[in-house]
Amino acid sequence: MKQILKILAGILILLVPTITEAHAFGLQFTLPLPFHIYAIGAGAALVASFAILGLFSTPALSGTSRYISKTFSIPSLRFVAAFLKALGIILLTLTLALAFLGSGNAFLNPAPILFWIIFLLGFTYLSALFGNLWEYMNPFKTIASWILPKNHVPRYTYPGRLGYIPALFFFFSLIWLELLSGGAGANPYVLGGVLVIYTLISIYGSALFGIRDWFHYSDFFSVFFRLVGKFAPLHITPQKIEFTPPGEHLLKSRTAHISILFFVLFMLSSTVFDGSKETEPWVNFIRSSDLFLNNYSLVSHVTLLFSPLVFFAFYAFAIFLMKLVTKTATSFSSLLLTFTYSLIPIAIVYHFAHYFGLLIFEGQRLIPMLSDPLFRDWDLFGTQSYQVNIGIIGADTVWYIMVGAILLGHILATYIAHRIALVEFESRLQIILGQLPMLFLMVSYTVFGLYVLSLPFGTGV
Amino acid sequence: MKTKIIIVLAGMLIIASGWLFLGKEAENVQPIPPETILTQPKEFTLVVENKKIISGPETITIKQGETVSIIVTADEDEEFHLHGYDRSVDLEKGVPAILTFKASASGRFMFELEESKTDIGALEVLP
Repeated sequence: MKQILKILAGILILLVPTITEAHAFGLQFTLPLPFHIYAIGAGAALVASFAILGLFSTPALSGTSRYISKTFSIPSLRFVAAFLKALGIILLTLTLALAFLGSGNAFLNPAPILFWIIFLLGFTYLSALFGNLWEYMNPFKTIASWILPKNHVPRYTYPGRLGYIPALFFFFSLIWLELLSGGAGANPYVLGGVLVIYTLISIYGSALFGIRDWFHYSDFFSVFFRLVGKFAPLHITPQKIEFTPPGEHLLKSRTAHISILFFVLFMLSSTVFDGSKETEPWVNFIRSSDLFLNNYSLVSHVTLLFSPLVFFAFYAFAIFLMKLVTKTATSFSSLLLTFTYSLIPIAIVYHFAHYFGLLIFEGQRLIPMLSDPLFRDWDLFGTQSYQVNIGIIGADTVWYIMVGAILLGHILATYIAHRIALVEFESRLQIILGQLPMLFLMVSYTVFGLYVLSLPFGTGV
Repeated sequence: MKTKIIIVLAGMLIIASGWLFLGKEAENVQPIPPETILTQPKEFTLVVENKKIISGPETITIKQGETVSIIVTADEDEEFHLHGYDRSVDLEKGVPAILTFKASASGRFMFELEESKTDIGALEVLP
């Protein structure tokens, strides 16, 4: 097994430098937010925050709110789970087949769009609405369960102190492949190779630590979609369907490991990084010194790597102030974990605001390719000559959706942080005082997010 | 209490969206009369040397519905390609080439030297 991994990794390393397809992917046709929309959005975020603080400061609200939950005894939901499991395997097989059998050009092979746009963006937003469907779909888990014998005894117990660090590592790798690999991630063969390697790693990891622990702690996709799914108003399990106010599941539990905090912060910071790297200030910064210009790749890597730390510094400072003003007995590190999930709505809506344009425009490129998936001049569905409709949604509509989504996420995040505080603190004064630093943090994140979306673009790095 | 919360949240959303639409109207106070659009394409002249624009705007800004003419002269044989609108024109060394079209869709569209895949600038069509 180790040998195969080494060989495949070797092939990948050899492939990467030979492929340079800058802008093969991720062409957004979005205009920067005009100043007045940015200002209104920022103002509304501030007003909304204080409205929430004013409205919900009574501990009476801290009890669990009632919501619709329907329990099924019929096998229909088991059928849904089986269907999702089959779908996961079919989609992975299809993507791999297209990646290896189709054209080697990122523009002519549907596999990169299927993975990066439809799956990684589309499925994320589906999960934010319908809950953690990945739990049932995960093809890597299905394959591991097929290969490992039923009575397989893991060689090691998963080291709990490691937490979700492996998943975080895979998250970094994925973002690297997306943003910093010089377009290698969009190359169908590289993408196919990466998916094969990831499948092998999943099997090997499951053999070492057991399927349950490996996918709980180390599989990027499982951790990512589990966190995103917590935001959803709908939750489907084989026994029941639950309909809750959005974000309700973020209140049900708290994370036990700091790596989840960095996971959420990296979701936010990698999106901000992607949104910044073509803006005028960033381009000017790079152009300001030959040192940066000549080491552009290194500067980008360092920025991406340290970006979650900047967001962490602000979060930690807010928590520090919270501890200071409330004089609570709960430790600083425990408070860091307690409020982690309240950042998820901000991370999701910022991701959505930044990437939904890509889903709408770049996603359309799948339509002609579906008719000719292997680039053999077929016309299976009569859509081979479809051209991307750039007028499908106006740039102004995009602005309103961006700001609307960001405001909604901000309101939810502030509300959830507040609900957590109602449970965490006892006196009304503690709740209000303790919430002020959190409120400023959320307003800062939101306004900064809007600010990045309002920056003019630059060209020529 | 719960109804109160919902009413206040709904109210805030309505106010926020109202602001947005007011802002939109304020932006559109001066529509361009249709006859100007038909008769006068907006012209932009770009000179490209060493795969960089040395004269002319890197960002061309126009309003949706206007007709635009981009005149490109390059120091090598290349192809000028505008993303999104997906329009191309062949460039012959030292000979100005022209691309004229009506900007019907708003957004930001990069243009590149197709053969060397170098982005040299962008067209911004404001709604």
